[in-house]
Amino acid sequence: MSFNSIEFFIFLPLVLLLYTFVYKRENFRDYFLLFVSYFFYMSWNWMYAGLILASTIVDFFIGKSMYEEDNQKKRKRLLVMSLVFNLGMLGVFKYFNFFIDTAQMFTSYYGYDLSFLKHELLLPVGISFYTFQTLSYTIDLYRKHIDREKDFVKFAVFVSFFPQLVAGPIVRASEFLPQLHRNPNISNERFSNGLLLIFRGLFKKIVIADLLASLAVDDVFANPGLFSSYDLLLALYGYTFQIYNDFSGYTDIAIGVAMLLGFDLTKNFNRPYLAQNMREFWTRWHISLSTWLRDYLYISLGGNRGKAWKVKFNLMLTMVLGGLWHGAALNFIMWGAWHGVLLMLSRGSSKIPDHEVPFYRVFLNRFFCFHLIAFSWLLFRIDSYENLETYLIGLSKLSSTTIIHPLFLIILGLTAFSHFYPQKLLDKALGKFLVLPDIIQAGVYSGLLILFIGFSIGAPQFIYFQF
Amino acid sequence: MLTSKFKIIIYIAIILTVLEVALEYRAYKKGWDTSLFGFKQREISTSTQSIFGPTESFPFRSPIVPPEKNNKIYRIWLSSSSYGEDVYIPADKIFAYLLGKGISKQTSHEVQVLNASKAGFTIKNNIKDLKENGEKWKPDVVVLYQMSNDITEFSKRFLGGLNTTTDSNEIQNKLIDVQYKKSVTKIFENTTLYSNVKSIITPKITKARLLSETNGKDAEKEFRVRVNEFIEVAKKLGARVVLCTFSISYDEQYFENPPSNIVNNLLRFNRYLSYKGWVETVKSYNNIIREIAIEKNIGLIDISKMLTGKHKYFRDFIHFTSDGHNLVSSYMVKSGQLLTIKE
Repeated sequence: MSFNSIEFFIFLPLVLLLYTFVYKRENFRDYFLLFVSYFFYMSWNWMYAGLILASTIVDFFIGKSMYEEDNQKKRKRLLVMSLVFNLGMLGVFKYFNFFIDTAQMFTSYYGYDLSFLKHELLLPVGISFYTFQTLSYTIDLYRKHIDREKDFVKFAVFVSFFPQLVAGPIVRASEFLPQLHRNPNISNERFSNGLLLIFRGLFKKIVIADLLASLAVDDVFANPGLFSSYDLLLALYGYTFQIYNDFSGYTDIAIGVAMLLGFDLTKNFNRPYLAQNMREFWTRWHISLSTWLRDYLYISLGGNRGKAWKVKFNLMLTMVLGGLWHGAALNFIMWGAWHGVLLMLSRGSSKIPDHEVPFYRVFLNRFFCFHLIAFSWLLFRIDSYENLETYLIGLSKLSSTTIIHPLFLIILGLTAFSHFYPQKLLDKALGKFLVLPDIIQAGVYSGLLILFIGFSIGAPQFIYFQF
Repeated sequence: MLTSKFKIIIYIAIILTVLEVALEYRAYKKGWDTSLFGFKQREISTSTQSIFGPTESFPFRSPIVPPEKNNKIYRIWLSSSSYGEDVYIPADKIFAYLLGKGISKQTSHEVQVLNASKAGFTIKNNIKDLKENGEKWKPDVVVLYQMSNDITEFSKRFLGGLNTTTDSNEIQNKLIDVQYKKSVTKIFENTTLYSNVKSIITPKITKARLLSETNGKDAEKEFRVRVNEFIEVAKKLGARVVLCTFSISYDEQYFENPPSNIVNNLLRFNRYLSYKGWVETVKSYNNIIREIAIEKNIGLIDISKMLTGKHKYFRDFIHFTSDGHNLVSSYMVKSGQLLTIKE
């Protein structure tokens, strides 16, 4: 059951309706949230609910033991157990076949066939997200940054909370668990905001991301050799905005749904293509992952401490592993490495405060940074070395013929405009909408729902579901 | 109540429900099939005395007969899709019924046509249907007139990336299950609001896509496999097989400027294939049917040769008018392929 499926439009109002009867009673509320979260997850594949449950049980009890243990060595051993279990699960389901394929490249030279070792297990939806979430709990406990959660049901809700279960944002225990101990923060204003976020997210996904994909991006990336350099460039810009709208659309819906239930999720995007350098980009793009990698990987590796080469190595390793987190494929490693190199290069970038940077420099910085990011999306999206080569050669040919429909350009132009349009003015316009009478808001939302039906050519999954 | 703002969701539900009821009523008045008000056309009585199926025990859109059969009964099984079932035309005006009448005049046997056509069926579904019910009804001849739903399914798979495996039985069965599934999605998709939006907005968007002119060679191979499998299943029942080529209302003469209502209708169901792609695919699959008929030495009725491009006999790209049904049935009868018994 995806956020853009018909089933979800029936599921969510039903959940909200039933929630009205239980949300004030803490115990009922927790059990209810746990039940609907597992129901939501099991709608994909009921068998994989066992994995979340296993991860929940293991980390809950490791957390308990770690909290009660004073001996540092034993605490460390418990942390290693949690890491081995969670990363092991991720390794088996996500990376095992990739490692076998990689090993096969070497062993086949000596006549050894390792392909019999490969498994045919499907990748459980959201495994990368909830694994990182539970890991943050045990690592924070180990670092004594948080207290342990004593209530198993609350901990299970933290791991499986359905709005963000399958594609984030990656929520920290320190942010979410305290909310489960309070009464949910529900008000008319938050309910309106939550609903608006859900519709904004759906608009980003269905009207922008999916249309950009189906009007040109998918076809161009599938056969780059058939298109002019102009079309290749348009498709690259198209994918750059597609992936943003797809992922941030999902996040908007997740945050919106959580808000309707009275919870706050962490902000995951902040108009990333306004970044003037790569460091700034990573404070605006997939914020919950970048801060996770910074806090639990980069800092654990030594962070900014040590000699310059060591810091650069830490940065590079963090980004490569960040790339690998997205999927077991060479292109994700290349994508991570590209960002690693750019981050290393931008370490010495200007420290002049933003308001003192001349306008033309801001524009040039953004323009330059945007294109470096767009190139990284080419690495991210491309499915073979041959296609990458074809794409790059095609881009260099400088031909201007096009077979892409003008509608693609209109959508691309509109999404770019809204991305660069001043946030204050956007917020003001949305604020005005929220004070309109309920019936008018409902009319607009009904119109949008009809538009979504008409604009959805199929119901493609969110890109980040595969991670 | 959780919050007074919850009423926005209730208002949305009310607005959409009122809109749906209004559109259903409008559709009913226009003579379309509706969930709320029923279907005017079904109430139109046929001019014959026969009582037509389908019923629980008689799953065919043709005059009801018992499954028992003696030497004097000659039974024709028609495997097709919406063009053979055609719920928008009285059952006694459909070619399946008319050809039975025509053949009756050529023989002293009692001719019974079992119209096993169902909207949305592909050849895979026809095979499953024949396997499940063929034994009970013991047809003498099995006729296959089927193509467009297979083309759409192939487009979804080979162009839309639903899957790229051509020989996985498991996936094939899943696809069939999808056809039979009555999920929440199906209910929603059956609403008039959904149908209206899908036929007004979606084709306009889909037109802007880079549409394909072919489903590819793998799809052609699979079509061949399906037709062959159909023949094998029919032969196992002891029936003679007659294949029909598939006819369409417009042909290659309209490549430059295809009629927009036809294109919109095609794009509503298949968002991958262009008009040219449709015409070329039908042409190439018809050639496959002709080749198989020669290879296997089985009957062939070349309906395409007679009807393709003659749009006055079609309501849209693939469905016949009453005159079209008449013409198809008389052509089938005259072909002499359907009657093989000796008096």
